[in-house]
Amino acid sequence: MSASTSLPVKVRRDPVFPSAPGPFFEIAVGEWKLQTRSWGSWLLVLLCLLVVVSEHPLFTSHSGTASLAESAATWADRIAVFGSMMAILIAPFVLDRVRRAGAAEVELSKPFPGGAYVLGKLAGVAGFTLAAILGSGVVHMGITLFGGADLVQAAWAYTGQAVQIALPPVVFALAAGFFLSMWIHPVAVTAGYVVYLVNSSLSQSAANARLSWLSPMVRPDYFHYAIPPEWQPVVNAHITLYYALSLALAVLAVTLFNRQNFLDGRARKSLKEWLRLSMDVAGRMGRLPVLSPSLRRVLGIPTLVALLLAVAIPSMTLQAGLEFTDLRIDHAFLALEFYLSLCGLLFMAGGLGLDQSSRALDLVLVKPANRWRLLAERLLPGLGIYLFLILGMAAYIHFTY
Amino acid sequence: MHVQINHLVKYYDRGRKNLHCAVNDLSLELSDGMFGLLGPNGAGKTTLMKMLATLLEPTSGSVSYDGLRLGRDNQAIRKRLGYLPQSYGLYANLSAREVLDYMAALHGMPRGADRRKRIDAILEQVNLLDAAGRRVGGFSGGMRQRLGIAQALLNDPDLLIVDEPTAGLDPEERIRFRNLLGRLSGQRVVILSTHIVGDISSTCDDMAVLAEGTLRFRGQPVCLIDQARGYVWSTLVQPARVPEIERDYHVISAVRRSAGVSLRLLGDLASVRGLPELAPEEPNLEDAYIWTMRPAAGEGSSISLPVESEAIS
Repeated sequence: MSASTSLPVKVRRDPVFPSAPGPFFEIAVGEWKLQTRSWGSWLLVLLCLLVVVSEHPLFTSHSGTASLAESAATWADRIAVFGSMMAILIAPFVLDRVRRAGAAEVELSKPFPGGAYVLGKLAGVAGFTLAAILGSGVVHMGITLFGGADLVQAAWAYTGQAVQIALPPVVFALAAGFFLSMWIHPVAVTAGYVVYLVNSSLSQSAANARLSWLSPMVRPDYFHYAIPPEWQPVVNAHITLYYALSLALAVLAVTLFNRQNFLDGRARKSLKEWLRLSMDVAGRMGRLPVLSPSLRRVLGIPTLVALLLAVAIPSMTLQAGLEFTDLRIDHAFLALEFYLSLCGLLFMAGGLGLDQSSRALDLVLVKPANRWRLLAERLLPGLGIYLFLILGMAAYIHFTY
Repeated sequence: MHVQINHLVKYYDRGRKNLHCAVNDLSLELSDGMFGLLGPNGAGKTTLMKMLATLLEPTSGSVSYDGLRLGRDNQAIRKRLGYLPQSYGLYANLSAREVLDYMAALHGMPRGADRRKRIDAILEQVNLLDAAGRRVGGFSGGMRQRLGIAQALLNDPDLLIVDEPTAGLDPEERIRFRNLLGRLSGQRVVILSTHIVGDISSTCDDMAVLAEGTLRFRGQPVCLIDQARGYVWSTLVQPARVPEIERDYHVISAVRRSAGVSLRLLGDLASVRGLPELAPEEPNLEDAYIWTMRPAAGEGSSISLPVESEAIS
């Protein structure tokens, strides 16, 4: 450190620290920057872009042509689904990352207004997500223009679809994911939201009903890419409702944000205490089994979420409401593929990632143990539970249908 | 700045009606200069630091910063505060300059040339100007600590709280860091919390010893050393006797020599009289700290006066 340099003259107090909206904008820019530096966020953007663009009607129609209305509606439909997924995979981790990075104490000792912090973080992540969606819209529209559409008409069509169809579920996912992550572990928020989205919007029963008030999505897909005029007032009311709900969640997040609760995760601790109380009550009724260290090692939020997802599998297949046996079986196996692959990933993360996340990996790896044996020890309990789940679920579906 | 801590108490609720007292009826008065807070792990230092940094609510008691009250004027206090926590992280994907820019934004400093100048000046101050564009993820431990202190200095604070800042640093980096803190302490209150005695002895002219949430000592380091005068001894014993002596006496250090093992130990004359080649030693701050923290008496200020060292043969 240089001994010869000295600090500049003391900064003036009051003019240097203006109140909001200054900090809000700066915090939003900071969060935006953090998102743009995250390879995970870019991976999600890439996947979303890939899915949305590859399903352009020009590529999927037999004739190789598509109307402007159909193209714009297809883009909005896919963004409603995959944009929501992207949002719910990013937004719940925004506040959690501050804690995981260990920056919470440093940040919270600064004199920013709490509201500016929460709104700034939300605006930063929303800006990044919406910019990615806007980018996908521009690429999609470019392909449509390449098919011969008029630029002004295309711009109007895509803007209308964005405001009406694409953005409401994404904005809602951002606000809900961000708000819920203040109380619930972000992995649980993401998994829970995916289950909610699939059950309320993407199931056969949702397709039959065309629109569910429980879901933030209106899918043009269910209307053959043209929402009939008689449905328009309902759709407008639905969109207004979900924009309003998103705003309400953002306001609630600002109102309920508390520095000290955020710092020590008190709200989450309450949840843990509630679980502990439940265990106590269960323990009084009968002695709780003591799990082996191998099993306890894989128990964590990812594993708990995987178990919750496994419960969602039969519920989804039962809700499908299909009349034909073949379709029901098809649906059941789709659920198995979709959810159980997620479960498997979570088990792997729970079993293998635990040493890393608890910062014990180096300690484990320097021990003179066989690494293959170590790997097996970490993996087998999780795989055991996973296999048990697969067999249980397959048997359940088999006997139900 | 003048910091007045009055009867501060902090209880942690560990659930199931189990309360843990981390800070117990602590009163202190701090003025500009370097103040060292020494204590073992779990003494309540970090809890006290967090309370002073407005991150933790006290159970009872009050803290006043030039008339600003903790709890009532938290935002105003934060504007005059710099805090470097014990364990912290900074976003690995951002460069040092970007981290400071973000922290400056949290401080409410408007974007522009003044902010950039301020950040550059701080980076130069902590000798990180050359690494300003590098991502924090690739920084060494010392560089990270220097960046940590840089973010705490952004607002030129009147109160700088640093919690165990030199833990894990190599000796050279530790000296650099201590010197930096020493330079910063001229016009502000710097509270250095640590369990490393050397950090206090080389930088602080005022200190306190905290143990189990209570104040064991408050004063100048030389006064603490004075308290241990006459209680520090050295002896030379055969290696076979070392376990027995370690069991019966408070051994501070043991150095193997050709003639035996040279032990440095604490105790009053009556308790050590039977040891061979006993000689009185001039206490240092570490001896004094250990003497203050001894479990039997524990009350550093109420120990009985030692016998004259000349009486020892």
